[in-house]
Amino acid sequence: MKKKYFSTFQLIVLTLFSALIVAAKIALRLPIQLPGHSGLFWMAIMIVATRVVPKKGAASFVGIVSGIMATFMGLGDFGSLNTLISYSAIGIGVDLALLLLGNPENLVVATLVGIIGHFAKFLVKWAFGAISGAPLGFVALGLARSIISYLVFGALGGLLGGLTLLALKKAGFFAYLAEKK
Amino acid sequence: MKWKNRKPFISTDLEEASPLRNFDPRAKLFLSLCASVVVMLPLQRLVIFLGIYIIFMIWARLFSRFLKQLDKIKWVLIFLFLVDWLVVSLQLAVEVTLRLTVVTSVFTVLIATTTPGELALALERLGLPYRFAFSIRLAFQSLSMLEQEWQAILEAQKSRGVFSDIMNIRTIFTKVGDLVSLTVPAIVLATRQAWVITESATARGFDSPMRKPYRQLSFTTRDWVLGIISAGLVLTLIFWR
Amino acid sequence: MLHSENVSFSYPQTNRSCGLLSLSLHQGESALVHGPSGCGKSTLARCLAGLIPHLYHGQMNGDVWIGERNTKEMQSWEIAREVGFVFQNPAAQMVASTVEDELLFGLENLGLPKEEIKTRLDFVVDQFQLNSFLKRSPYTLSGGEQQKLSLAAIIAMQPSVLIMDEPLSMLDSSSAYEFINLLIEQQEEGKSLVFFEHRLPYLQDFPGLKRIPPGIASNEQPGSQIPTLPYPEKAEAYSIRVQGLTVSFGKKKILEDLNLEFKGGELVALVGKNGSGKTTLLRSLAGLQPYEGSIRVLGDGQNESDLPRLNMVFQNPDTQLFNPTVREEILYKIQQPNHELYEWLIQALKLENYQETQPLLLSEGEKRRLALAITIMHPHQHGILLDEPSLGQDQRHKDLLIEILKTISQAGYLVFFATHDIELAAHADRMILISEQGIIADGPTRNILQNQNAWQQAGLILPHWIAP
Repeated sequence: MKKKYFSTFQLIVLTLFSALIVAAKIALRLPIQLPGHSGLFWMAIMIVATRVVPKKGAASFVGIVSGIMATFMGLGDFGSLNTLISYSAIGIGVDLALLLLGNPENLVVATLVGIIGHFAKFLVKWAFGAISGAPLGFVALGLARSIISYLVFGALGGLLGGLTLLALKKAGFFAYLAEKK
Repeated sequence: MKWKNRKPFISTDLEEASPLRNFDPRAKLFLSLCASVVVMLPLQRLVIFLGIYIIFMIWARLFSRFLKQLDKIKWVLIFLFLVDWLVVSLQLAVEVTLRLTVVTSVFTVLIATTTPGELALALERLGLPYRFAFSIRLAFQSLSMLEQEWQAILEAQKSRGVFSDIMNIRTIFTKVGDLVSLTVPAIVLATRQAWVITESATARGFDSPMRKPYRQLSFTTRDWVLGIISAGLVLTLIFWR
Repeated sequence: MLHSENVSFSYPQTNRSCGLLSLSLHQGESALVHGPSGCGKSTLARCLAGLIPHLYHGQMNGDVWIGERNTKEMQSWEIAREVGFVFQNPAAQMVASTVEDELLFGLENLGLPKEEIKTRLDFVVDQFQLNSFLKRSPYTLSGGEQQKLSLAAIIAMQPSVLIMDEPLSMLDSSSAYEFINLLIEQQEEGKSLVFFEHRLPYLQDFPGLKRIPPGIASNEQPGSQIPTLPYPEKAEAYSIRVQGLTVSFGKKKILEDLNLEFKGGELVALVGKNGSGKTTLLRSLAGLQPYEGSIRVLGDGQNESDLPRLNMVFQNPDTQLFNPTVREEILYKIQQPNHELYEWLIQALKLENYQETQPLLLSEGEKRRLALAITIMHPHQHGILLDEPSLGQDQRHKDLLIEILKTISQAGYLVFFATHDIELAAHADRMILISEQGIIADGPTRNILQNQNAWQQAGLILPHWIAP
């Protein structure tokens, strides 16, 4: 039988990570005075996913599945299409960034990957503005506040992803994982 | 210690009363894709489309959902309208506002009247491999369990004294390590759950090349009518001279 | 029908190993593989069901034959046609969003024609009385109903052999008896059954059961040496009064107007079916659950308004573990650790040899003991609460657990645990029986065990080997 690109376990674990991202957005309320802080977990889980399933496209898969879920849950402000493409863009952004930068267990790399991934989401919003015909300068002005929060959350999320990977490694998680096909 | 315990706006309820509820999801997906092409049209044609679209939404009993969607972005729309009007022209301001209105609501027809399971089945019939359709269904099905797990982890860590102070932009960089006490258990629990499902699915023949689906979708006359009208309207608006 | 010869398996990373298992079963025969926790029962169950070597990396020695075919040479979906597998945790093994889809999952994978699927679906729905559940989410069912569903989903596929990995461990007594009766029917219809189970008394009357101990002893530290050291801290005398406790989820009242009083030094068991409100009561006492009514501490040096400080041991230890070593896990976020208490804990809980071990690599039993150590290490002025502490534990570990709980209660602290495991609860000084209607009975354990009427009201069957 032809071997599948993702094994059954890899497919299912990526699926549950996608759901974990959306569950964090819906359920997790932390004592953090920063709007949209659940985005931190979004980026962190996506980065971890790329090491749990070390294959190209793992983050994109998580991005697309969580995007479909977020679309159905009514998350995001600019409608279903924007939500779906934004989530997918983060996944694709993370995959591309890792291709260029390497191992996210390096905290600097993880932080940069987080920034690039989140910036992909910003580009989607920009593109939606452009398609609507609005002058790009105004779209950027409207999103100026978001740019800063995108960078901050991207960096924090990436850093959290890197720290999570290191903690998982120390706690013996990858030894547990190595027994599974 | 107090902090905001606000849930985001979630609109998961199906519009059961909508006449579109029983249409084939493929027809509704096609309609949504047609509508998303219209966003590129010039102002006059966009206004005609939006008029027809609103009448259609009222017929489909989805108009209140459409308004709720717009309500979420009203401040962005107002801001862009004012800036475009004051700096460029009223025509551009109207055009941009209408385009954003269309682009944010084009998939409402599909999302508000289709369950995730029905969408997965439709995508499977459109050629998506079964294992990815299974994945979409599984993701939705696991959501409530994973929400509970996040809560359980948060409670367990709070009882150990994690998150005893409120974090803000000044302290979060120094306390980001505390968040690891949430992410590590969450990843471990999700992975263990994934493994149990993998074993359970494999023990019941998942990935069998013999698989035959039991449920079928039927693309009936009304679905063809909806599809043809959608395509006809969009083509007319694009090529009409 | 099913034949295995000297089967053993070793994991590549941790070098854990298990085996040897040889058995031979013909149509309609059943076997019980038993042994202490950590002896590799679950691994051997997976070897028999073909999940090993298809899903696991590692070294499998010996062979398993289903009929004439060796499982190593079959595809996993081919094995699934012949062998059904029932897992320990009924909720975790669900793959679909409705009961009907759960039943259809395996049938679709068999590649049957639509008419045949419909016939088999109707048959199992009728046989397992699932008609009223068909459109419900499997997650909304009770543990007993979920395990019944998982069995139905497998029986619909008409395998010739059923392998079960601790299928009773999460069931209350009445659900366990119901499940066993369904299995006896399956055996009478000609299926071969293999149990991997440590709740042995439930299976003592199972017809024609062969008993097979696996070939090597447990890797885990035995719980035979009960700690004799007294708990290093003594509590002041106090009592906790619960008045008019009501908890609602939406319009549904989970607990209504409960009145209870606990004293420091009591070892109390809370027993009830799934969904009777056991966890909700513990969460309220721990301050994790909003409630109406009052929970107050009364005693020397307490104000009338004082809330109790009770720490809770959560059901799933994985919600807490993330540190690199057991030692760091126990001492995490403790400003000035009590070293005497730490030493007592690691000795009493048999964790001395694991202090530098990575927590995620511990066995389930060890992780549960670690979670207990974490909870006790944090200041708990009035006592501890435990939610289903014996899940997946064999008798030796239960004995160890109960001795530790007794030692803590003897030091003056309240120890209050919720369980569906009546064998464990029978060791408590006091027992509270709870059902959806509220508290059915409350008193010394011996008296409650004699009150047949109360057990009936609680919807539970008191196993005959426990009744005094």
